[in-house]
Amino acid sequence: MSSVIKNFLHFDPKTVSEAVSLLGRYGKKARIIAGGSDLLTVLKDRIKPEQPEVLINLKSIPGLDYIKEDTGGLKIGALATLDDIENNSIVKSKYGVLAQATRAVGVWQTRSMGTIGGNLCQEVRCWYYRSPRNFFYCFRKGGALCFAVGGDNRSHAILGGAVCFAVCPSDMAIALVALDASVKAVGSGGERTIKLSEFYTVLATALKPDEIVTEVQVPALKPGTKGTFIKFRTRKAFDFAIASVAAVITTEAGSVSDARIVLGGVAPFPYRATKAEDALRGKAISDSTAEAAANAAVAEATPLSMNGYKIQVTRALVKRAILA
Amino acid sequence: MVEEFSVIGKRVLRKDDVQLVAGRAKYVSDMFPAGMLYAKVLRSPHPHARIVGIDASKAKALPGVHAVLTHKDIPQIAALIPLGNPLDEYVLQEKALFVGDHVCAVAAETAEIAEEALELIDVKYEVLPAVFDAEEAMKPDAPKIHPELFKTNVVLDKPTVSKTGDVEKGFAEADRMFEDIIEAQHLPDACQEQRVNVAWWEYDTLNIFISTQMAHHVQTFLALGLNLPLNKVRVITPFVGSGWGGKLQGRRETHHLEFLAALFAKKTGRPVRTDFTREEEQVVSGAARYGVKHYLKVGVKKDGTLTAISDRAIINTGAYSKASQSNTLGYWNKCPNRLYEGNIVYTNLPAGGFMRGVGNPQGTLCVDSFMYRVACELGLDPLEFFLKNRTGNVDALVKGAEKFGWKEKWHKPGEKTLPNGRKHGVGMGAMIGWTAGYGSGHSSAFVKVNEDGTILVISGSCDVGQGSRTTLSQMAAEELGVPYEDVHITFPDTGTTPADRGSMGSRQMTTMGIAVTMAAKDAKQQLFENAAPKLGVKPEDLEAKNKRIYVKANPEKGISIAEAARTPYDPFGSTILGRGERRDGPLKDLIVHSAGFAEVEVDTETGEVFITKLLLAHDCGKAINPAIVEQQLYGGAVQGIGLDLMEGYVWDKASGRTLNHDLLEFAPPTLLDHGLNVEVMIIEVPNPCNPWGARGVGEPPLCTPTPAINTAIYDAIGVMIKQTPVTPDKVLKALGKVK
Repeated sequence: MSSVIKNFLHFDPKTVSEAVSLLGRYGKKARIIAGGSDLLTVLKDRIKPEQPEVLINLKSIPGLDYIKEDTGGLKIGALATLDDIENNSIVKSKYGVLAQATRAVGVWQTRSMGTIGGNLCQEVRCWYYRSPRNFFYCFRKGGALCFAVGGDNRSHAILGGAVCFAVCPSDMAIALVALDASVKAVGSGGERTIKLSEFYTVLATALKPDEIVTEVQVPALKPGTKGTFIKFRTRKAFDFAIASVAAVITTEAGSVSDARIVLGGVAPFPYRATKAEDALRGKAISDSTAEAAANAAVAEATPLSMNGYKIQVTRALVKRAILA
Repeated sequence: MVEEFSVIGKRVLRKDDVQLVAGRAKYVSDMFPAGMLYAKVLRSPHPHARIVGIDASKAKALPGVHAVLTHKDIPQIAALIPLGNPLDEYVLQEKALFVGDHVCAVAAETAEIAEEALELIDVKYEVLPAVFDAEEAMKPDAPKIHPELFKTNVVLDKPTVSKTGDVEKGFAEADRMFEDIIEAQHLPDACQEQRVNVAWWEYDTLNIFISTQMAHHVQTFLALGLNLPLNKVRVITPFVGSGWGGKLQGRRETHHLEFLAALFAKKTGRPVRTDFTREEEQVVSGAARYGVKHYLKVGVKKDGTLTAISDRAIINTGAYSKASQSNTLGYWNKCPNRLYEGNIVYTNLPAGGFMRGVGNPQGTLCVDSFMYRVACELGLDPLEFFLKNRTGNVDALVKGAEKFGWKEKWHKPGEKTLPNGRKHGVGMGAMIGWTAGYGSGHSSAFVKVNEDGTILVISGSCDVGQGSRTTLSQMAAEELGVPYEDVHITFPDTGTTPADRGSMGSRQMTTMGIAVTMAAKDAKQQLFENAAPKLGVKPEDLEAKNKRIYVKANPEKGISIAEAARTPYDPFGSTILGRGERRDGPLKDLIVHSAGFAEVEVDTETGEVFITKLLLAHDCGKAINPAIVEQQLYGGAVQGIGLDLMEGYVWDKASGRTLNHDLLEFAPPTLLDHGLNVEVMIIEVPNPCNPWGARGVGEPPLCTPTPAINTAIYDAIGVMIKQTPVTPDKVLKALGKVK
C-alpha cells in the first residue's frame, strides 16, 4: 500500500505573479503548496485518480506572512501560520473569536506548519473522498455518486449538502465568515476580493484555476461586538469538528443590533444561520432568545441516516455561543 | 515476615529510559543494512475473491524490481502456528478474504519502485459474495468463507460450551429474570511502531530482525514453514515499539510479512525489508481486538442472589480463526448455574486477534455492564451485588471502593444533576485475570557473572514496553546481592538466548521471572563453590550481598563477587554461568484481581462524557517495580478510555473497506481526553508460588476501565448504552434527543 509520493517538479517562485504564471502554465497538473500539512497527506494517500506533476511553493515568496491592522481592519498575509495568528496580540485582544478558532485547529505542530491560506483552501475530510488510492471514485472526484449517502455518514452534512455531503473542514473559515471577512485572490486576470461567505461551493472554492489567495481581510468590529467560537469533536485535540459555531454579536442599548452566526462541520461550506440571526436581532439576549435562535439555526437541517445527532449538538452549541 | 529487599520493590529507572528519552534506542524500523531491498504487498480491493490470474510481467520489467512472488511461486506455507486452531491461512494463497488481504508481493531497490511495480500487476479476480456481520454469516444461505474446512462459517462448525450446574433449574428458582444484548466493538491495536522485519541470509542461515513479542516462537515457525533446522534460523529483536498482542506473529494476520522477507532475501541474495504503513496497520489489523456480541440472561432472587447466568457470545473472528473466547462468567463464581456458549464466526473482515486481554476486556465490559443494571433495577447497590455473587479475593473491589468513596458517591441511575447542568454518575467493573497459566509455554535464561563482578542476564524476553528488561534485572540483582546498575540484560537473539514463549498473557514476571531468578541462584551457587575453599568454609555457609560473598556467621569474613568469579589460573574471563528455567505446566496462584471505578459527568445536550475520576485498583502480587506497575495501570486506564468512548474500527458496509485508515480518523485519546484524572492503587497479595511473590500485570489493566466508564454513564443518564464506543450520538439517542 502506498506511502510514498509520486515524483513531481517543484518550483520556488519569488513573487506572486511568478507563481500565478506557473499556475497558468501547468494548469490542472499543478498544485499550490505552503505549509503542506494537508496537501502532503493527500499526495501520500493518492486519494485522487491523477497525481499532480508540479508543486508551486508559496513559502519562497517573501513578505506574505504579515498580520497587521489598519483603519479598514485586520489584514493577514496568506502565509501567516496559524500559530502566528493564535499568538498575535492584535488578534488576541480585538478579534478574539479568530484566536479561539485558531487554537481549535489541529495540534501545535500542525498550527506551526499550516498557513491561513492553506487552511482556507484545504480539502474536505470525508473518509470516502480521502480513502487511499482513489478507492471510492466519488462525485467530488468526477465519479457518479456520493458514497456517504448510502454509507457511513456520521460525520457528513446535515445542511446544504447536494451531490456531495462532505463538510467544510476549516475552523478558520467558520470564524472568518462570522467576522464578514474576505480574501484577496490574484490571478492572470488581476486581483479581486471575494467575500469568504461566497468563497465555498459544495464541490470547490470560487478560485479560478490560476488564482491564488494572497490575503485575508477582516473588517474592523463595531463597538459592542463580541465573538465566540465553540468546536465539538470526538477527540479533544487533533481532530476536526463534528460541529462548530462562530457567533459574532453586536449589542446596542441592551438589544442585539447585528448578529452573524456561522455553523461549521455540518455543511459543505460555512453555513450562515440567517434565521437564527433574525431571531436574535432587536432582542435582548436571554436563555429563551438564545434557545429560539438555536432552534432556528437547525430548523432546515435534513440529516442523513447516521448524522441526526449533529442537529442536537449544533443546537446546543449555538445556544451556548450566544450566551457565552 | 517482612523480608528486606534491596532492589526488589524499588522504583529503579528502567534499563531503557535514557536511550528512549534521548531518541537513541534502535528499533527494527531503524535498521537499513547496505544493499537492502524493500518488499511491498499488493492487497485485495475485494472483501471476498478468488484470484484467477496474476500477470506481473510489467512489474518484473520495471527497472529496480528484483522479484515478484505470487501463490504460484512458493510452496503452501501455513501463516499461523498450529496450536489447535484450524490451518486456514497461507503466506500467499489463491483467495482473498477481506479488503486488504495479501495477494502478491514485489521486492525492489526502493519502496517507491516497489509501489510503482504493484500498480503494474494485473490481477484477475473472481469476485465472490461477502458477509461482514457475524450473525448474518451464521445464516444457512450466507457465503461460506472457508468451505474447504467447514460446512458453516462457525469455526469447527460448533460453539464452545462451558457449563457449571444447570441453568434451566437456576432460572426456575429465580424471582426475577433479566436479559440484554451488549456488544463490544472491533479495534485495531494501533501499534506505535508499525510491524517491520529485515531478513538476510548468511550462506544457509536465515537471519531476521523483527519487531515482535515472541522472538523464539518466530524462530520455530520460520523453521517449520521454510523447512529449516532451528539452528539455521536466527531471530533478533531489539527495542520494540509496543505489541498489544498484534506482534504475536504466528497468531496474527501479519504473519506473511516475515515469510515474505525471508523468501525474497533467499531469492535475491540481498537483505529485504517488509513492513506495514500506518494504513496497513489500520486496514490489515483493523479488527485486532475482535468484536463480540453477548446475549445475556440471568435469574436472580429478590435479595440479589444470582441463581443462573447464561451468555451466548457471537465472536466475529473475521477472515481467519485467530479470535478466542470471551467468557467471563467465572467471575460470578458464587452463582451455581452458569452456561457460556461461544460461537467464533468467520466473516470478510480483517482477522481478530489477541489484543491486550484477548476476550477478557470485551466480556468484562458486557457482563459487568449488564450485572450493574440488574443490581440497580433490583434497587441494590451494585457494589453489594458484586460482592454478594463473587468469592475469592475481592480486595481490589473492597479497597478500591473505599479509596474511591463509593458509598458516598453512588446514587440510583439518573438521580443526580450537577450545578453545571450535567448528569453525574459513578460506575464500576471487576475482573479476574489468569496471568501465565497452563499452556503459556517455557521460559529459560542464563545468568553470567563476569570476572569484574558485573552480571549479564541472557534472556530472550521481548520488552515491548512493559519493562521486563528492568524487572528481570532487578530480580537477578537481588538474588546475587549486587546493585541494579551492575546488571545488564540482553535483547532476544535466538542465536544465543535460550527459549522463551514470548511477552504475552502477562507471563514474563511469572515465568521468565522464575527462570532468571533460578539462573541467578545457580550462578550464586557456583560463586559459593568458588569462594568456599578461598574462605575455608562450605558453600552452604555463604551469603551474597553488597557485591560480596561472605560467611553468614561472620560477615566480616568474605571476598568480593569479582574475586569469587575468578579462578586462580586465569585472571581473564569467568566461567560462572547459571541456568534457570520455568517449564510449562499447571501453575497455581497466578490469578490477579482488579477493579475499576469511574466518575463521569454527562452533558445531556451534546452527549459528551467527561471523566472526572478513574481509579484502577489492582493486585499484582509483590510489585517488583511499583513505578512500572503504575505505568501499566495508567496505560490500561487511558487505553480503556479510548475503548469505551472513542475508538472503533469503521468499515464501509457495502464494500468492506476500512474507513478510518489513519490515526486522525481512528482517534486514540490524548492527554486532554483523560484530563489527568486517572488514579491507580496497587494491592499487593503476594504469590506464594513465585520467588518474589510476583504476578503479571500486563493485560488485566485494560479489563475494568471500560465497564467502569460504561456503567458510570448508565448511572448518570439512567439508560444503558449497549454498544461501545459510547460516542455522543449514542448518548443523545439513549436520551431520546435523536430519532
